[in-house]
Amino acid sequence: MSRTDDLVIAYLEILHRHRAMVAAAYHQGWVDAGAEPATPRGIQDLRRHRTLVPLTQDAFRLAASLARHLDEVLQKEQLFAAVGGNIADLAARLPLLIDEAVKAHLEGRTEDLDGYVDAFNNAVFDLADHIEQALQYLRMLADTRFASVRTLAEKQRQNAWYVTRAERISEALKSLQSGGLLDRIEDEPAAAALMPAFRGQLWERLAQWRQSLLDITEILKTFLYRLRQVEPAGRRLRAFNLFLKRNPDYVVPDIEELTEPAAWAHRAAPLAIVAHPDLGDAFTSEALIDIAAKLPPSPTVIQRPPKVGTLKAGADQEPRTLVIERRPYQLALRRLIDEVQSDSEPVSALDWKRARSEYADLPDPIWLHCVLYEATLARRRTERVRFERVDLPPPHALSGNIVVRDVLVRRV
Amino acid sequence: MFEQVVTLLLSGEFICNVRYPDAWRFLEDESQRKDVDAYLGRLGRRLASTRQGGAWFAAYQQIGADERRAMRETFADIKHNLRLLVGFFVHVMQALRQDQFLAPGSIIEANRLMAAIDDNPNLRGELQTLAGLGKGPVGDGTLRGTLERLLKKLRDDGYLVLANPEREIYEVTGKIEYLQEVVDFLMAHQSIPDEVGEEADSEVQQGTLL
Repeated sequence: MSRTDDLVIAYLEILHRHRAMVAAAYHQGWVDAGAEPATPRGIQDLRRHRTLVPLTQDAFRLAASLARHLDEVLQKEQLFAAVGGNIADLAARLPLLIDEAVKAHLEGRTEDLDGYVDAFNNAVFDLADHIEQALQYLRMLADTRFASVRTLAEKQRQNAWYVTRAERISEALKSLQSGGLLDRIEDEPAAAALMPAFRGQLWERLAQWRQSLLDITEILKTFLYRLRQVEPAGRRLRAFNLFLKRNPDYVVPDIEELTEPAAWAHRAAPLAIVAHPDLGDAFTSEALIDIAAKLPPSPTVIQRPPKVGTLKAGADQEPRTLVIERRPYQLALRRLIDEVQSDSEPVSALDWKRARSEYADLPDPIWLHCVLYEATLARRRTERVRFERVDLPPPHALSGNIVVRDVLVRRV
Repeated sequence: MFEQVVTLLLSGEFICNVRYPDAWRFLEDESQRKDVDAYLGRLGRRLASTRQGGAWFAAYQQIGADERRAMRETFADIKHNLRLLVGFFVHVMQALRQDQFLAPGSIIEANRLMAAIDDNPNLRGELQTLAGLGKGPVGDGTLRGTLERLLKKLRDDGYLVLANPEREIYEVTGKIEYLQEVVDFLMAHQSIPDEVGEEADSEVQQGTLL
């Protein structure tokens, strides 16, 4: 058979040539004849092969069979898909084809017999393929919890629908298993040619399919049950939240207050699990050696010897001693405090200074200031000495200035 | 997988289909469950599930003095977090306008939630109140920052997983069923009525009108 004579290849090549149009029609649901990527030639080719069917005057959609095939290939989730819808019908064909094959054999119609055997085998493959696809699709839906729909009500309706579909597939499988088809083929020598396909494609896979279907039904029913619990749960949570808002002082009761703790309260406290490598175990040692080899080298600390310094010029000489000399006012103050007698009259600080020529360079205002400052320091040496300020009347009542004329010093 | 499952259970984790899908699939097999249960039994624990069956966890086999002490700590933890947890999930339900409970696997889109909160002064106030219930740093003080901090806390506590970091889509884990059981129990214990008054709804409605 040459490449050009093969109709399948020819058809696939047409699909390939206009793949952009096919994809657009699949994804958008339709394709506009006057817009990209549609071309008049492409529309014509695809219509001729019944790949595109008219939707309106200028729009076309993908043929349902091809769209369904793409859905299967891409595992696209449909809403309320008729999963396994034709399994029962396909299964119903099998006994009819067996009957016809037996009749053809008995009547010696060999060519017809070959035709019936081929038809039976195709029907078996078709049925097996449909069952497999339906189970895969249902499993996908169950595992994704109907991800294509958002609301709880939608999920509930979808779930209920697919539970029904699963039950119908289960019925079809049951009738295949208990319908006596295997006995019929085994008992009828004329139907021996039908046995390999039937046994290999259907009979030996039935148990596995039924188990798979049971699992799916279980998941769907559990999910449906949980969905039905969700709405009252939401209501209770809102009610409890409202209660907490209305009772800001509410505290959860202590465990001692509960006569019998609820099941959830039995949750075990976490255990802190820490394992240490067993250094005595050779296998562990090997692993540790590997780990050690991969460890980055520890940073090397370079100990540098301290640099030996050199003495500065003249550093070997004795340090210069600086003797702090007392200032004149300090000497005068010390002397004044020493000379004030306890039983004598108060001494005028100003007169006392003026009487001593060595303090002639000390200005009177500075001297008086120093005496007053000494009074404020409250030193131990002046603890028995009293300083009495002699003020002049202020130049102005509100000037705020204090004009000191003298300070009288006496010992008590 | 046995080792991983047992370690998770002993460390106090809730195993659900959302957070630990591999461990969850492992526990779907009855014989594996029996093995795990037998192993836990030797440590004074048993394999337990939430009432709705959405999460597995380790529970005490028998309640003695030590177990009672541990249970008291669990209670203390619940006491501390209950207002925040209940408040947050109800807040999300109100903001996203969904009456039903956020079951395991429910999706919370942070951007959608933020937009809904942003549109409603009442929800904005609620969010700030919720943020005040939690411990830890205050954050940058923006609504967005507050929401992110709450979502992070819920993630750290195992109630949410970040399913899509790019789009900031969170998924509710099976641990929420445990929270629901706690709430149900407390409601029964305190005889709190199951019906919500009009107040809660009207608050949000008014907020929307504003």
